[in-house]
Amino acid sequence: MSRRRILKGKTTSGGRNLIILGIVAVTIAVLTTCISLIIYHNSGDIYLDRSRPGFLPDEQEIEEDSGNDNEEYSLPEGGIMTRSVLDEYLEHLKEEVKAIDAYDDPFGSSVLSDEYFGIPAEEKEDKES
Amino acid sequence: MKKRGIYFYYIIILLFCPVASVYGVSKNQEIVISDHCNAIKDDLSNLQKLDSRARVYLGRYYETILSIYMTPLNVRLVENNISNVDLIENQNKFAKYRSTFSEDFVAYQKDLEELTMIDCKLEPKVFYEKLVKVREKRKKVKQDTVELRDLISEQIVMVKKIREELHE
Repeated sequence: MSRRRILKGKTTSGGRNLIILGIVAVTIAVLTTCISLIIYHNSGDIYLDRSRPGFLPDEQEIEEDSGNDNEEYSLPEGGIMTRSVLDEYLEHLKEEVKAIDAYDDPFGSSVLSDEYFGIPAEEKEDKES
Repeated sequence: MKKRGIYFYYIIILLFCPVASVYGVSKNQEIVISDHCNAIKDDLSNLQKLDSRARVYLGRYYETILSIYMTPLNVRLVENNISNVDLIENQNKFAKYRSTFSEDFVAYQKDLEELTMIDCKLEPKVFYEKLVKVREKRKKVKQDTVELRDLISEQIVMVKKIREELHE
């Protein structure tokens, strides 16, 4: 009976169950992926993630990152606090400050200004007219 | 009763006048936005990438300063029975501003993304109104970086002061 069904191109009950299982598995996978992406987007993690396409660091940036070895510093644990310990601490801290200051005008307002986009600033004249 | 009415209208005018002046878009501006829409969108797309880079760059240094410099020093000073109330307060402020910086950045990027999704060719007015809002969000992020930088400067001054009080 079952052999005859296969020959006719129809699926058996076992085959049908397998197809249902496949469809359910794919549906669950799609659903969970969608939910994960919604959470990823709504939580704001997407904006902090630089591994997304188009936001990966370029070669120059990677080279600059590898050049910073100041992170290896750590304040010695235990012992008496002396001037020399604080001198070393300040020396390394100033290096970090120098690196922060080296970034030219982070989040400056000029890049979103009307002038930057070539938009004329003439609201007042228009309103009066 | 009349006075109350006058005050009410005065408050309403005060509330809505600045909004109207900030979001006012002239016909000429609308035409320019529509004409330069593609160029503006390209600039915004590049800006998203540059800002993302700035956040990672600065965020890494802020994290380093908090976890490698501020916290261990305060622990060490407590172990040595050296008064460091101001330094602890500075560390708490720094941690607070660091998380504010991250939150403000996310809020700014969300708005910036929404801005890039507006069709400035068809809706230049809506686009400009959103641009004004994005500028405000960007200002907040900038302010956070200024606050954090000031706290680092204060840290250096406080550590120098403690250094002066210490023996060789």
